[in-house]
Amino acid sequence: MAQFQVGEDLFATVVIVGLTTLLIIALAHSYHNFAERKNMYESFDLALDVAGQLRNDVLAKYDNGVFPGLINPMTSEWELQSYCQLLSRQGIGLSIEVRGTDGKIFLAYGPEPNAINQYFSPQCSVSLPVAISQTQASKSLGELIVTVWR
Amino acid sequence: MKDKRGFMPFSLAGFFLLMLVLAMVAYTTWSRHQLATNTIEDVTCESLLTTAAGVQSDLQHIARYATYRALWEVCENADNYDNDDSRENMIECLAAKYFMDYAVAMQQAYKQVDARVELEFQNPPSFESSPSSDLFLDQPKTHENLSSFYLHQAENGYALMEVRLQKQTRIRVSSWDNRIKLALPCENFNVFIDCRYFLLQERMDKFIRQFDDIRSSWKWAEYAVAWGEALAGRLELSESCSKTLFNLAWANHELKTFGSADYPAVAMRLAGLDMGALAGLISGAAIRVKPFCVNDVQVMIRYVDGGIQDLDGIRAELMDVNKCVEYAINEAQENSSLENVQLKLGSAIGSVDRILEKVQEVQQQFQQLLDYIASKRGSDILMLRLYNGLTSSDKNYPPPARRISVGIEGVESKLLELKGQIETFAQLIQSSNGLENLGNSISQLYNHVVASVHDLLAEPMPKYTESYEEYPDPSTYALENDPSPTPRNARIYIMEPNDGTIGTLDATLKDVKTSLERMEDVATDVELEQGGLVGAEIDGELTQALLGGLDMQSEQHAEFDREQLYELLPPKPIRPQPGISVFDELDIGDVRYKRVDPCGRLCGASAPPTPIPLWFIDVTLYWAQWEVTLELENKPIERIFDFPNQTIPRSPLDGDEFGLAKIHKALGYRYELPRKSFSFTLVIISPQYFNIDAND
Amino acid sequence: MDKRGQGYAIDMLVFALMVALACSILIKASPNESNALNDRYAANLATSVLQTFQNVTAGEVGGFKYKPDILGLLVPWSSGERDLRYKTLAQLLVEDMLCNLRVEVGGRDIVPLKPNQEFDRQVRKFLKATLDEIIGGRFDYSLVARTNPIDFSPAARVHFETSIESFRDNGRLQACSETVRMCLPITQQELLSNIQDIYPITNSRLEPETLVEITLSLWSK
Repeated sequence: MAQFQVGEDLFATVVIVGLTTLLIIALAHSYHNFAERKNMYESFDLALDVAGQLRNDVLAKYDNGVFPGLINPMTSEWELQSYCQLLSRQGIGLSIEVRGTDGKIFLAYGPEPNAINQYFSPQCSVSLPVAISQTQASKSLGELIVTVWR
Repeated sequence: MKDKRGFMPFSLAGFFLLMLVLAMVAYTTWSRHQLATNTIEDVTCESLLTTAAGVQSDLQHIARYATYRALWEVCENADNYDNDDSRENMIECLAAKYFMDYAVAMQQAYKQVDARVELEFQNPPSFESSPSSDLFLDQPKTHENLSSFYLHQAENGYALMEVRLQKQTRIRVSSWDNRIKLALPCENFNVFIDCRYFLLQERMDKFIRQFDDIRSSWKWAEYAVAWGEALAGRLELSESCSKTLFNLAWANHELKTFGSADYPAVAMRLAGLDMGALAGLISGAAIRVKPFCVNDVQVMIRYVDGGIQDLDGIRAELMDVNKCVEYAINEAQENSSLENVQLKLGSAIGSVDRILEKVQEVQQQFQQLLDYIASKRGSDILMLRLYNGLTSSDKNYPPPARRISVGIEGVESKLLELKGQIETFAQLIQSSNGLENLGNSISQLYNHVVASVHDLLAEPMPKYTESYEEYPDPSTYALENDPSPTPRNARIYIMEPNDGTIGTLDATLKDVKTSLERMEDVATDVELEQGGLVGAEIDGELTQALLGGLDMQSEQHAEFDREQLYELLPPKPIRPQPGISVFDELDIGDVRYKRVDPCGRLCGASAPPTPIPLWFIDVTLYWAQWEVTLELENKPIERIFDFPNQTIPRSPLDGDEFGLAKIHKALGYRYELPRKSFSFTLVIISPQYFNIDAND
Repeated sequence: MDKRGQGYAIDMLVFALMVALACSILIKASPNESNALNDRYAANLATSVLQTFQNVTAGEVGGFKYKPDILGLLVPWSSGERDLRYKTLAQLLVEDMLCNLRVEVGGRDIVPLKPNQEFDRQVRKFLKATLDEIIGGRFDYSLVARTNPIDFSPAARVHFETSIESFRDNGRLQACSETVRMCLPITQQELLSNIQDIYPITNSRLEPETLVEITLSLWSK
């Protein structure tokens, strides 16, 4: 027992401190992973919210009312601008594209993606199928692609 | 020696670490909970908005059908209205009325089915009950307060209905706990009507405005014929010729105005056939009993063979799955490399995917067989019986089509379970990063795979047996003998999805193939003896026996008149633009020729022409003149159909025979023309004498 | 000294225990992939698809044509083909129901006289191809369209159900399910009078539930 002296032994102290440090590093790594995933979830959630608002309200306005789910390719730029300004006041950047199944672009708004900005604030994209009002008779199938970033 | 101690015991440090970990875990759990709660709320909101948008779309939907009904009713009697505006006003009123009926029913239906949804009108119409026989239906006092309909012309002659509901009309939706409420305004919307009402109206107006062109065309045609005959020396005015020329003039006017004419009727009239015979001649409602054609049966057998071959392929693939899994397990037990094992398991999964695709192909082959028989059945009793035999059954066991689909369902679920097991094991290997400590899982997987494959490839055991009597082929015994039937057993291998295996599917398909092969033998014999069967008829008793149980009863087959037939199958227009089909009803009564020149008046219809001597040039002209009058028996009916847009769902006959069934029909614009009499003056002046033959 | 040594040993043991406990809590509570966002996206997608169904016209997704087999008629002047390019996808589904309603008496289906089965077949084929295009490889789906059974008497009811699936359910957890409702465009008087031809009904009180439910369910691949 005389040889067994813990606490005074430098080796024991190093081992304990090492263990503790490892644990704290593991904890920090875990939290970092969680925070990253949470950020990603929040971005995606935000993208879905914005896509929903665009599909059901901003892009679905016509002279005689709002028709959720039916995109008006003639939506005025003023509407889009005011919506984007609303989001930018909350620190959210937005890029919108509405394209048909044949790749034809009906509506595009927002800045081009910038590699440098993307590094600091990664973008999150979401795409949803929508109907696009072309003429009174026909409504074609298209895709609404929304990209958001903070 | 002075004791050196640390300023904090390790257990305290451990305690702090534990608290830190617990705090982080609590935070992440709370965060996940928040995310889940937010997701639920967001999804609820989305769901509410979907419901509200659905109701909004439904209002447009019922407005469309209300407009279809209104258009149909008004266009059926388009001549009842003075002008286009009154017609359009009536369409708008009727559409508003029918919309009201549908909207009221919709409101009440939502109250019963989904209490969250409420259609809010500013001044809801008041109701009073009006008992009618045994039904109680609520009738609104005024419908025009609820909505206003305005009919506009859209592109290419189509119609657009603008609907204005009352101000403050809202669709209110709330969540089940009433925490979230949504009010979607719905006051105005446009509904595109896929019928070219305005085109039909415009063309009919043009037809009527230029109606006199028929008389002119007919007149000039008669002149051409008469002058030609007169110059040839003999003029014969005949009723049949005049009728033909009138028919052609009418058809020509239709062609000029509508881009098409009622050419089937014109052909019938020119051929001198009775119009009423047209529906009878062409109607397939007459029942046919026709022996099977060998080619048809061979095609059916090919479909079944395709399915049987696919099942043979599946057997081979299942053996491959067994081998791959066995190999993977051997590799695992020998502690071989992880990649090898995963490769083999991947191959096994790939094989299962291929088997699933092949199983779908078996289903498709059988469906193609059914589609083929359906396309051939028409009113052919034997094809109908064959189709019924494969798809319906009033016995205690399902029919072959159902057995195949149920069996395939069972096989697919077993294959998916097998695939799941292999995938789980593969994931287990991947997550454990090694093959150690997997002994139990390996043996479990092996046992499971062997059992599954064995089950799928097992010999089929009948689940149900039904006995029946089989009579020998009549060609194998003399007519005076009366052989007794042989008792046989029909084996049913599939009653429910769990009975589905490769063996049972194979046995079921082979039973079907055996029956088809026997049909092929009979069909071959019949075709060889076809010459001897000329003139043979199927008597009524046999027809009734064959019809028994089928959904097509001879006494219920529909009789179509020509107009109804055109409603169902409008003739293809002669010119693709504007694409209008034409129906006309012309009952030409008689044609009268009244001589009005002096000789004719004095001496009768066959009197020679009145000579006009021109002494100063020593020429005599011969003059004959008639008042030609054509009378129609009834007012002529002209009906035009929007041929490219046969889109209005209606009963095949606007009567009783078709029950609930509906078919898409083209909008028909029907006009009863007021004019029944057409006349003109025929004047012949010829320098040569000509004889006149006329029926007095 | 011995007691101090023992104390230190106990201290170490307690510390080791705490660390082990902390590690096990950390491992156990390691965040699994949350399905919440996947489900949220699935719900959004299902909503979009149903809204698309109510707006997109058939002509813009390849066109829809069919030849009715209801008649058994053949005429030389017309193929009888119907081109429904301006109808929305939801309209096609509702009209399929309208054209193929079934009557059930005493639990047994009475096949209506000459239903429009070819229309039903073509609608199902068309909608499956369209759903494959819209939903594609993202999710497996099941679209079920059914009427609420309309009871005309204790024994007789009218109903219809059809489903279009991309796979057979093997017990996987459903990501989401969204429903829209639409009216069946037939008045109750017309429905009653049509049924009278197939099955006589007297003293019936009609229940106004002529609603069609269209439910889209999605499963993760």
